[in-house]
Amino acid sequence: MPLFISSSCLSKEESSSLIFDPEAFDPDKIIVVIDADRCIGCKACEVHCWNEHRDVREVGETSIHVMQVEKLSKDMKEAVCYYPNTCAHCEDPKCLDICPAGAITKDENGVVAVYEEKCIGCQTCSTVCPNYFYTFGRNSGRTLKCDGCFHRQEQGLWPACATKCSMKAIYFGYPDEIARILKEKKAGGDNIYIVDNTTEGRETI
Amino acid sequence: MTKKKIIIIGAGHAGLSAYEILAKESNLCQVTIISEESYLRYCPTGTDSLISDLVGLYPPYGLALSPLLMPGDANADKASTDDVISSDDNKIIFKNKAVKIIPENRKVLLEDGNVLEYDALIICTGAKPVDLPIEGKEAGNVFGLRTQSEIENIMAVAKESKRAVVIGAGAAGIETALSLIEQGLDVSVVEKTNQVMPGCFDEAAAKIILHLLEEKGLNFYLGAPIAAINQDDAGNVSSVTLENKKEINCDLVVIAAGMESNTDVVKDSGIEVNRGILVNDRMETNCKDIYAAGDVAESRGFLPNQKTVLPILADVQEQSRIAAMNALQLDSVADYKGGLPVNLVTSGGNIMFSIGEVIKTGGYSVNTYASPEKRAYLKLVFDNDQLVGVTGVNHCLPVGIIRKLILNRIHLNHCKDMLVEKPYVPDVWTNTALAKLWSN
Repeated sequence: MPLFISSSCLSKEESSSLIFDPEAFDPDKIIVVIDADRCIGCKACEVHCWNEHRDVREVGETSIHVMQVEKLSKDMKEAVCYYPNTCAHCEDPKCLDICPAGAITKDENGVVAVYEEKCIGCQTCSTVCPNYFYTFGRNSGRTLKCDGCFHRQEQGLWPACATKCSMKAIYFGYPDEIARILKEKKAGGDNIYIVDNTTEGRETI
Repeated sequence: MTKKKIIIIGAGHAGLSAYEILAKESNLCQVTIISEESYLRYCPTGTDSLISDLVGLYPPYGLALSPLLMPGDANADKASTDDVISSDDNKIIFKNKAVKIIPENRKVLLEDGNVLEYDALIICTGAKPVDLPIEGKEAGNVFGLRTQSEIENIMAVAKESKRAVVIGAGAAGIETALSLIEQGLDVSVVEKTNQVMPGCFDEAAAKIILHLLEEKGLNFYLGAPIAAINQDDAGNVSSVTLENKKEINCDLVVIAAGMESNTDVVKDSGIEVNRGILVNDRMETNCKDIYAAGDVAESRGFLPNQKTVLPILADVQEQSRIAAMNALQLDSVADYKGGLPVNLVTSGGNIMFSIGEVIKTGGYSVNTYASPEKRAYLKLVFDNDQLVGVTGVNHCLPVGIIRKLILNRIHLNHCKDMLVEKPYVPDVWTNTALAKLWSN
């Protein structure tokens, strides 16, 4: 699953490469959109991510990390911006292929989840993740992988980081919905970029 | 157009990763996998952790073999009763072994006398345990640590045993010992060198790790090569004798004294072998259309002009992908850029890892951070502003990011000062260092 970034850090030519065809995606699988232009680095997503998982995690162990970056890809111009780095729930997850314990699955919603009881803490997933997203518990040694707030989705709610984001910079949604959001954003003058995470590293396509 | 006949020898991670690539190009090729095992999805990597009941016996589900599977997919994780599973184009031959390769005639000889022809061959025979010259190692209840059946045997015997000896204090040996101690056994680890995990950690880190492991109840005999394994009247192991004449009573022995490339199949075939099968950056051997990947291949290392055998999963998968794409003669594939050793052991709240070059640090600038009272240790090795190695005990840092920083030879510039100042704060890595990685 590609990750979508909206950011004015990019040049005009780069922004013309926006192609999003909802038909090309499985209508039942969710897509994650990060609007880096809107992110102000407040870390509300981190707080709410931890709050949702507070029963099983220690303080500060979150599945989303807000970064302050100069560039989001090597093609971009330099400017200070923020980026909440989280699992992109890839269409063809490399971590799933490589996990020696077979602990990673992709469910019918497209959420890439880890069976924590199967995780042996070898961190091999972190070596192949194109987003360098995987982090691990200080004491448990087990992965702090985003589970797409599975318990919230059961109640028909989107993940906490998305719904509680103070700037509405994070979206989870099905392809048609995402297409609508991106259309609105483009009409509002935002530059939107597709970051291909199926290759090593992050490049605009 | 006739389809290319591609043979993969070995169905471990390397072989199946190569297959995964080839299966997507089924209009271009027919694939035959030759496996010595009777298991379909089978991964030797996690075997040492499997012994522990906590994890249970999970064969890997990760590798997608679905195009090959016949009805009864649910049984894919059990031992195959068939000798061959095949679909229209592809097949897996089980419980059979490639014994000889004849590059001139493009043929592979199998153990049962059959001869297979190929257009391209990918050798993924992996590694085998180093053959230790120990007297009496054929005794009952003495096991190696490679195949799934060995693991099942260890699990069965461990239920009845009281005292176990693990030979070798490498990562595999230590994880096995920890798994056994969880089962309530009294475990001793015998190691011929003077430190635990030689080759992965420096002496200072090894000392802390030794303390941690001793606290968990493991007994260590370091600098004590093993002399003989003794057996009782029934033929089962009764004790081991060290070279310093000390005798340790036991009823289970696990040999985890290291691996070497399994290059038996290329003997006398003209394919060049050093420690492993020598391959170029296209993963091709000196014989045309014969490729090697995984633990069996000796490929480009991280340092210039270095050739290594690198049994690291991420690198193995990359090698297999390159070998498979080149076997199909797809032009789009980039050359192999070399891999990096990554070792990581976790046990009950303790984590120890080492990435890159952390022992031979001559000519590099080294920063160490030790707090013995917390049993924590961290060492960063820099070449100017490029990271070349990191090792840590009881510091949970993002290994994936560190590996990529080293592998891509990222110039850290001012970011280096932050890393040197507070390397033990994970945020410095997941934020500052990662930003550096992205913008390069």
